[in-house]
Amino acid sequence: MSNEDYGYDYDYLFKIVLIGDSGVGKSNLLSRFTTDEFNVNSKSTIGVEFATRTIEVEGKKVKAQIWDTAGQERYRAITSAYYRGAVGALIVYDISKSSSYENCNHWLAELRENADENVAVGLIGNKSDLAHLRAVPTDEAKNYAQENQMLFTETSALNAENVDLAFRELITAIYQMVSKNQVDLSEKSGGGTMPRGPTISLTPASNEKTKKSNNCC
Amino acid sequence: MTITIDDLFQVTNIVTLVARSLTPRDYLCFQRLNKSLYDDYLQGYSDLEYWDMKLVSMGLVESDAVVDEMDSGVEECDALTIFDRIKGFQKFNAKEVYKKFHRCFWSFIMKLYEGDLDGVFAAAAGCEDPVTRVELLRQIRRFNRCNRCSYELYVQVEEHLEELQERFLEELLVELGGIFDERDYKSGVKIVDAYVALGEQATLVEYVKKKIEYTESSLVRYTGIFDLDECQLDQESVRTIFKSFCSFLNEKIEVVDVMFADNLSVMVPYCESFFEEVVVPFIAERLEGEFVSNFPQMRSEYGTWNFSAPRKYTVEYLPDVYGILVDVFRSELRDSINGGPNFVDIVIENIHVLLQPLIVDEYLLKIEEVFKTQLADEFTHYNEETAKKQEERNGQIYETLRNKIGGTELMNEKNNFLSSFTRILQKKNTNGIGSSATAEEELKLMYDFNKLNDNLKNLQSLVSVDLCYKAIQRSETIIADICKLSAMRRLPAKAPAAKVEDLAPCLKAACQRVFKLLIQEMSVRHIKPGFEKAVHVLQNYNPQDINRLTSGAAAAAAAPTDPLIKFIELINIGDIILQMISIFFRDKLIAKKIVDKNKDFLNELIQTKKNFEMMLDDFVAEGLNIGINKLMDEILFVFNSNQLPEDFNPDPSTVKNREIKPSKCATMIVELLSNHFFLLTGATDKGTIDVFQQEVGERFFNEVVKNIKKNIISTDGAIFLICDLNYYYDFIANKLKQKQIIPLFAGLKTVGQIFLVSNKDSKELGKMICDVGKFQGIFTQEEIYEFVQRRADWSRVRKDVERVMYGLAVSDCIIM
Repeated sequence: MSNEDYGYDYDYLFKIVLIGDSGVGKSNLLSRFTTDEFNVNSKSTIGVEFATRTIEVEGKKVKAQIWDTAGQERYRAITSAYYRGAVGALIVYDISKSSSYENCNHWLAELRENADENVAVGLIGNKSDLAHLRAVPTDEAKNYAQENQMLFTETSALNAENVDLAFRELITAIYQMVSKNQVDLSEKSGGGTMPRGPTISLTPASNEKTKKSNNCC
Repeated sequence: MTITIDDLFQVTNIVTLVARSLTPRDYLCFQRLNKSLYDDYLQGYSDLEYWDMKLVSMGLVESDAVVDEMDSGVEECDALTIFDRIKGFQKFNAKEVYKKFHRCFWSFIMKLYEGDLDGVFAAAAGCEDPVTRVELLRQIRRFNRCNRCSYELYVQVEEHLEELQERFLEELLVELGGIFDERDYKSGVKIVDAYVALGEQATLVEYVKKKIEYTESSLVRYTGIFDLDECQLDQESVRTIFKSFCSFLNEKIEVVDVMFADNLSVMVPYCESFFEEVVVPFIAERLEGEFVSNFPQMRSEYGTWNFSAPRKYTVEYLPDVYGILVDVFRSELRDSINGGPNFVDIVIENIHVLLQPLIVDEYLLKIEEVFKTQLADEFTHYNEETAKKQEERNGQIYETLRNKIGGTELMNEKNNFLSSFTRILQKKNTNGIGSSATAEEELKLMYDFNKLNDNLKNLQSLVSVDLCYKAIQRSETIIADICKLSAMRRLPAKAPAAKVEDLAPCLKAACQRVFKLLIQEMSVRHIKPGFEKAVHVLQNYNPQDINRLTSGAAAAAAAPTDPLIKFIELINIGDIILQMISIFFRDKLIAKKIVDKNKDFLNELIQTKKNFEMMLDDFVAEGLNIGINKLMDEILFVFNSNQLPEDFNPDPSTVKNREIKPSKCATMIVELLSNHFFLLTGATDKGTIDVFQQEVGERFFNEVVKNIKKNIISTDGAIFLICDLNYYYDFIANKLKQKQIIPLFAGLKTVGQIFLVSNKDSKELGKMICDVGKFQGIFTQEEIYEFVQRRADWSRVRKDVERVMYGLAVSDCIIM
């Protein structure tokens, strides 16, 4: 089927990036959310992978286009290319590996530097199934998230615990920002996208807003 | 000086020599002739020598140890017993001993000398019994040996003795005839004994053979053993005839056993000549020639001299006839005292030996000839039929197309046709020929296209598993038949089987020739032309032609390359045939020891089989090679016709609306690949499959590289390229699972990144290019440099990139 055929099946398209150290489980979180699969033998991601899932938020179909990036990417130019146009991000760490938690600061800084300033961010403590090996206390991470205006969830891609919730919370937060016109949807940001066709008549406001901000630049 | 007799007699030797050549009566006269002669030469020692010589020449032993039996009733001795009683003598007594013998035999000697043959037996009292008479003759002959010195007497007696014996034997035979006439076989025993005593067995056996001879007509009431209408062997009548042979022999066994017991080997030689003169000629005569009258009719009825058609030569039934023969004799022939404990086995062995010329010179030659004809006929017929059908179909295609053009078909069908017809027209217009094209030419084009399609559909019918199966089955039957002729040897080693030993290798060789014939004819007449045609069709196939003519280019591109699929089906067929042959070879030829795998590894047969396998392998390799080329052509065609410039270099205003997913081109290509990658699975060995998949994978990789280099990729479009590359990687890594080629596609994934980088980061882009390790070690820096030139903003970033790469940019250079 051609691209055009898909033009009408969603109201919003959000780009979300998954970032975090190599091996914290980003790819499995993504596959759990988009296809409800978990791959025990998953290898580290080369370059960038994509997956989408459409969910309904307040009666609107929101298509999440999620970029799963290689955790060990050494080139800033590439990471900044990943962030370009993202309206949401999930910073993922492994609750059994404190270094991956400590690196979250670095990932957050990189995100703030490269992405839109209004980008919605969620902090994910993955591998909650490894509670007996826990190295990062939940409260500490929760406080850290609050301090930096991040959503926070502990998940397990292995047994699917909270995965859906974490993505939904982030997507809802983005949606709310978009619907309150808090996110600039101009071409400059290039992120949350309004498709052509019926969407225009359904959400004329946001479309107008886009045009306005376009004019501003 | 004259020499007188007296002078001669002065010499001792001459006197004694003369004396020794005299008969006893003359010798005694000679002694009395002259006193001085007697005193000087003929008394004492010389005299003893004379008698001594006589006794020794009769076989008596001169010895001091011999007890003198002279007094113990020797007077009662007669000619029959004296040699048993007196076996030796003492020299001093020689004359006395001789006297005893002389008394017993001289009257017989005189009768024989004088030719009074009738008087001999008459003179011997109590000598009516044939064996006794034989004995008497024997003893007379022994005595006569002492007359050798009197040559004339000796020869005369010998001659008459001979004559007498002959006359006596003749009389015996006359008597024997009477015995046979009266079936009083018990009385024959004494005559047999007489013959045995005389050592004249051969004459007797000959006579008995003649006496118990039969006439064929008395035995064989049924002359025909075939149902000529059906060209079938009438097994029941064959059985009946052999049973009559067998019961005839059984009667003879009874007679011979009574007369001869185990005295004289009569039955075995009798059976030998019976089989040689009667049974084998009977079989040979019946199995001579063809079912002539039926042959042409059959051939036209069956259209071909095929495997299931009736037999051509009567001799083809030899194994059946032989089987019945052996079966009948094994179950019905009675044991014979005269024939010995292995009688039945010897008889059967003998049949085998006697049939050998028929087997070797007739049966094996004919069976090979027929099989060769059948193979040729079947395969030629198949080829003709296939060609005819193809022609018919081609004709139908033409008719259908013409009718459609003539508007006789339903409107919508016509419209469908016309729409594709229009496409041809358009295509031709773009090629600059179409404007003047007439409808006839278009029809021709459509016809060729449909014909090609149909040829492809029927590619696998070029080689028929069914036909090859039948051919193998036929050869199996023939080999089984041949083996029937050798399976009879159950005799212990001591049996006279020397002649039979020669037949086993001969039969083995025949089996091998049949197998070789099978493989050769099958490969030359069927497999080779089939595969050659298939390779030819494959070679002439042009995917673009098909795509051009079919409605919906997308559907066509996604559909598997037809000839490759058909060819692979053909490979599958070839593999099945090869396996059938291997199983046949293993289960029949090796298992039955027709071929010894270890000993005969240089055997021509094994070589033939290997050549056959090699031929198939070569065709598979050639076909796959062509197939891969065609597949690559199609992939190239899809890239060229479906990878749109906007795919990787989109208009910035539309990019937001595009979902990130593989391009239409990429999905078509992956579908095309997945339709072909797994075709070989199950059709051939894993090694070939791996080579095929890796080859396709590597060449596909090269096509992707070329495709990237053909397109211009913008930063916005990079993500779509990455998506395509991810899609290819996913297919190779997760579906195909050919580990060796996965790194190539992982390398491509990282290549996608260099297009994603913003032109603001051009310096870092330069660093990335220098970092060869970044691209999984698949590409050299030069190659990456070639890729990066495909960036839409290359002119803007070039300077920075080159400066990082080379320390300075080309544009920095100033010609001094």
